[in-house]
Amino acid sequence: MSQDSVDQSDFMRLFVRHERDLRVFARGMLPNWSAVDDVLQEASVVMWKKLHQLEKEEDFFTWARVIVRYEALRARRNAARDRLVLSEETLNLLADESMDTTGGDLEQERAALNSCLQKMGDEQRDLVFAASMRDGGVKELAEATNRTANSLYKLIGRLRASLRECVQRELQTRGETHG
Amino acid sequence: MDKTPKREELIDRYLTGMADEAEVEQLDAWLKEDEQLRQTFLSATRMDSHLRERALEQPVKKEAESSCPPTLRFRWFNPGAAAGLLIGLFSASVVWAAIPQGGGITRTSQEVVTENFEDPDMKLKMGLPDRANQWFGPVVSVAPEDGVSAVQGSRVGQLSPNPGNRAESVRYVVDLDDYPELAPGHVQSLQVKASFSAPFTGQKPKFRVELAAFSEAPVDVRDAWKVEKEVGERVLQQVVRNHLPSEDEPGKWHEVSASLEIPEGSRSVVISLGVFRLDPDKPVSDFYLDGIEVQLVDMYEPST
Repeated sequence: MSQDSVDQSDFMRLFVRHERDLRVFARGMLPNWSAVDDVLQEASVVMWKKLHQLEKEEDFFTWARVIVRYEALRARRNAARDRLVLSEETLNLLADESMDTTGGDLEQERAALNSCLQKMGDEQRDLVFAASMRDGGVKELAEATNRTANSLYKLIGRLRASLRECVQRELQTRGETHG
Repeated sequence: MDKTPKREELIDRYLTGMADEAEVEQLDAWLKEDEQLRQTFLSATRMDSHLRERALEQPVKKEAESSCPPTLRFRWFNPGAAAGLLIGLFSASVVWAAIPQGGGITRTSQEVVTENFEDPDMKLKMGLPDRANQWFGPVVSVAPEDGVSAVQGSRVGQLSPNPGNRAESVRYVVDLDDYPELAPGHVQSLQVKASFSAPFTGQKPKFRVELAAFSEAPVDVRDAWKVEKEVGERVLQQVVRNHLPSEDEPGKWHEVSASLEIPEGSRSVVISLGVFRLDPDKPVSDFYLDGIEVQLVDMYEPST
């Protein structure tokens, strides 16, 4: 549905609809999930205040990504002394290139990943999930299971790599099927 | 030599928080020069995001059904609650009202601490808390100026950031061992509200209530706070509520509330009340703090 302008009463609906995809975009620029959560929260306030600048609902995702990008760069500047973050130049390159990814692309990836996850054993899947659940998950999991972080990291790294390959194959197959 | 596996491995290390400074620097250099690697990196971050979405969709295993060690049983912070956080930004009461109280659910609460800064001689220790049940931070009791009235009583806490600081907080650690052990089937949460004001502002600060649960005793939590990275790794559950006052509201009180569901295995909860996003190039302002209420809420829903 197209309309002349977007009312603030529409904001929550639009934000919730696109939140997952905005989170994906932010993750491409930020070093950990805590930073993603903080930036999304900051960005949501800016979106709310500037919603009058958005003319069409259809443009929300693109418009919101610009705001998330700005807030992510600002967070990067505030963390300038942190050596564990990528440079602003690199973040800008990454942000430019991820603007081409559509919500449809992300949905296809999710579907492919779901298919690949079903092919994994329960234990393997739980390991991958536990490592993805929160920042520092691998180290925490290592402590909880009495393994060294490095050995667990290598195991999870291999599982993630095989998942990546599986997702690529799935996407390729789906592309060939539908193409 | 094909460097691709090493580069992909480095991306994984970065995304899982395992990369050290040298590795992040190396990754940064490679990403700058290699467009293909940037595509690989973005693909990996997308998959990391999708995985996390799926992971958080998994049902939380009940203790009796799980053979996992305790640290795996926590209901970790769910970013899907962002909508709730967002609602809270605009109407704190929505979050408070969201606590279900019908359908046989019982809810009891006990006061942990109330602070209105009425003692003119109160002196807080500076720095990070090294014990429970005390406030720490650069706060003194003052009579408010510029026509500002105290939220409770006649005095308020004046929070004075050091020049050049971008943020300042006052902190308090709740030692959960001081309270009765949680009965089976009960859920406990810590609810905090505080009022902030910026009467002399040339700054445009944000106000923040942050709650973080740790398994460590209060004296050990202090060590974790010294290293920001360690806080991120050790915290069991964390809630941050930010409030950005409108520019035309100098001197007005802003009540900010937050509620943290205390995960299993928690021993300490750190409460941080503060201002941030201060401009170090502008004169330092003092901020007022008042009406702090901290409650421990116990909820129980009988099984049907």
